[in-house]
Amino acid sequence: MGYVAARGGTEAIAAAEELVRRSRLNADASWLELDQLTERLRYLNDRVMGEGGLWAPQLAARAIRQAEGDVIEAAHLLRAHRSTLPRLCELIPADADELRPLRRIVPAFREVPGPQLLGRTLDYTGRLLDLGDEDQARAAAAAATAAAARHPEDDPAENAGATEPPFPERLLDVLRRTDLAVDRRRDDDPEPTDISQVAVRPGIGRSAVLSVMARAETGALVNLWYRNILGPDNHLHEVTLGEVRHGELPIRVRHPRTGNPVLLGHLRATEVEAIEDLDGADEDRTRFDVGYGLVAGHNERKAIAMANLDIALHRDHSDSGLEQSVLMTTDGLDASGFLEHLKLPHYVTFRSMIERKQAMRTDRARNERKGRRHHPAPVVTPAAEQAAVPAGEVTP
Amino acid sequence: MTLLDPTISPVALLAADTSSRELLDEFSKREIRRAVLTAVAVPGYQVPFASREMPVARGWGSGGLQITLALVGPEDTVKVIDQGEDAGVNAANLRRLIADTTGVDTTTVAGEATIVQTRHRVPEDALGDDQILVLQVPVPEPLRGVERDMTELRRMHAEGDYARMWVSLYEDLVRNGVITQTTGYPCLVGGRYVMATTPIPRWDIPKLHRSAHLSLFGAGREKRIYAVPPHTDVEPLTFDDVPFEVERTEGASCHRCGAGSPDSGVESFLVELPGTEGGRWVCSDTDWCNRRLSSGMVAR
Amino acid sequence: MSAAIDAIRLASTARLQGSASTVVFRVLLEALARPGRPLELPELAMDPRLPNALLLPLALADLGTSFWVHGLYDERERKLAADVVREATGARLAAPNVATFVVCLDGDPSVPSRVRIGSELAPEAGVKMAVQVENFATGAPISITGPGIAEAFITTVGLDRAFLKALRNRNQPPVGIDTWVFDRHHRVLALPRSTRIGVVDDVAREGVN
Repeated sequence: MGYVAARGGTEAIAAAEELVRRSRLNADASWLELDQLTERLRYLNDRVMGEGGLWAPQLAARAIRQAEGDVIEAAHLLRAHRSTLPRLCELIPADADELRPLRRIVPAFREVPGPQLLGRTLDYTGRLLDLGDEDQARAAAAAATAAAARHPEDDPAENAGATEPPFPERLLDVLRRTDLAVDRRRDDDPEPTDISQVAVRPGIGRSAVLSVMARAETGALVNLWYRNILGPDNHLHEVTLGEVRHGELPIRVRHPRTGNPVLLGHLRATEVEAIEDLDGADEDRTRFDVGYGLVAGHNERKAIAMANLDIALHRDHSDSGLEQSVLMTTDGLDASGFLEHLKLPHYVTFRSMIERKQAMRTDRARNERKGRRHHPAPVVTPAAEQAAVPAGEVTP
Repeated sequence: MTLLDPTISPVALLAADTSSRELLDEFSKREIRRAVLTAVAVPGYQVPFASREMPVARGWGSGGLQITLALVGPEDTVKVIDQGEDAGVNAANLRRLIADTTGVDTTTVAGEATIVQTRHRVPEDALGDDQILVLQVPVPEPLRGVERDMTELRRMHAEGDYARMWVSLYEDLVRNGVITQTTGYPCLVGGRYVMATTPIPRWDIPKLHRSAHLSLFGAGREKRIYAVPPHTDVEPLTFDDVPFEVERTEGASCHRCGAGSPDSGVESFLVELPGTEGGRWVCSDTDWCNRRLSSGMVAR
Repeated sequence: MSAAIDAIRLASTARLQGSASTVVFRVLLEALARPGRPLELPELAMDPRLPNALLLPLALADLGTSFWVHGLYDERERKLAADVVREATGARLAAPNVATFVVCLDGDPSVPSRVRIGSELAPEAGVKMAVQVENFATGAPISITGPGIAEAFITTVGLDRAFLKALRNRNQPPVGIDTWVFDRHHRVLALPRSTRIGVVDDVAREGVN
């Protein structure tokens, strides 16, 4: 029997696909190399890996190029690729204290244990559009790259990460030492939930909620945060940031037969501790509590939103619907997939809608002829009784 | 790779069989299969499953696609329709994906298919006991119109507490004179769970009731799978003196095959082709209509 | 040869991949959709020393799931079966009251009361159970009806009255146990939790309607 190509649709989508492919190649521009994306558009690449839930810089760059720069489309390509790969083992959990910082700031204190390390950040670069000469910039970039290759020790980016071990004590440790933090540590900590393996729903554990936020669309999480600050929802208030760190975390697995840890490599992550001033009636006003954010790659705004939402969710006791909003509405692929499905044909459902409009008119005309305005009350069916409905609730 | 190679984990051995073009790995298929089995054992209950990312967007049939890919074996023949049509762009795209990545045979003839994947329709031909209908579901929760909170929704299904659904149908009827629910009409399955019927038109609901075939419903974005086994009650929620009404328009008949006209003796679900001089109608199940035309069943 | 190596060798015959895993699943699905109807299992390369009841976890278990094998009479057989499932799927061995899959090698009627049945909030937590029997033609007659069954009928499934009553008592849909019964003639049938089982001496007393 083979493949039956129903005429029409198949040809149309094949033609559209070919047009996309041809336009991508024939763009009247030089070919976009992957290192242009991984090295020069690193926020973009990191964001796609974070929202795609897969740490793979080269694959993310391919995805961005193929998606013509559409971030959600690129994240989709990464996730769909991951679906085809078997899940072979579980990583050994990395201790966040093992994060080797490339950047670390502690807004809550002027001086802290360990360095305040500004590192590579756009925060204090002037927001002035660089209108400099392209040829000069190109030449400068080439010269800098060549110089860095000769003297790697002079590279400011490398130097930024040169902190002396042990890794800096975190602000939370200081607060705990001075008895200023509510201690919520628990020793019955269950295995973290892998959200690629279960369907999350309200009531699921904190590890799953944190994972959902870590994989959420950045704009969705930022918007949910701001909506709660300034919009109709009011489930969180502004935190003080303890730690904002960007650095490298080790990835280790257990050897399948020997059980020994094996280092596979590193991933970069952004970690945030958000300090909350407790003011609830049932809360310990003499202490602070802390929300936590950790996202793949360098994405501080997402990590901060996550940390603030984390503590808000804890204080909220799942009462307000904030948990459902976080779990169910922040995934970029879910939201945009469903939004865009409106472009699919809907003529069967639309025909059914028109039919009901006509049925309402027919009913109205019939009743007007009979001089009656309202439909008589319906009678409860056996099916209704099966559904355990108190009759009084259905029949007035 | 030898059998006793100490560097290969047992899991890697199971995963090793990757024919590479497949969209789901062995473990993902197993998880979907477990959810499908639970769904069949608890008719109408929305079983949570992990839902993998597919090469189609969420909301574009990713749930149905995952079920189909977890089902298809070497002996299968697959038919894919959208709005009843085999040639629509979405149907064509899904069919292409399924065929290209599994090598399975495809058909447009409902009777030849072992698996029919569909969006918004059930084929006009009654499916047999050797066939499985896979429905793509955008919104699996039938009670969302009366309740938004997921924890409360879960309780309502757990306790079979559908009172508010009945109240809402009643209010609809009193306000509008008819029940205005269009497609995706809520049904009670096996006397226990209220289920969203995908949205297929009301016309198709009797085809799910005590059917010979198995129906599987996949909602990829919302991560739910549910099922109607063969010979299971699917009863539209309505009141004793308010008959459940399917889509019918007086005087409408297919301008190609005549279905719906008094002399044709058959009816099908018709869709309108708007025109300047009043609309024309045509069967939404294009293959069924084509076969009527080519087999000479059509009275001219 | 050591027991561990034996298990690894047997597991290599029992590792269901690609289409083998698919065809076994399709038979299990078909059986579940039409309760009480015996179906032929596909031809497989599995070592004949392994009981077919293992096919349930072999086709469906993986790293994220757990299983338990029950057998009172032959501890070596039980242990070997468990090793094979673990080796072939990566699933964890777990206590009966938490396991995703339970394989009962001997029809011990205490088993249904020891496995998990889920809850009304989470029916999906009900166990998937495989039972090995000799022959469907033997055992206590039962009448069955429910979803997937066009008309109630009376049959035997190779299980005795005590086991069937225990199973019936645990099945209170939507909670309960989904059971697949495998006989020694390469056949399988299913009794999902939705199937109402009447043990025939009770049926006779109450009268078949």
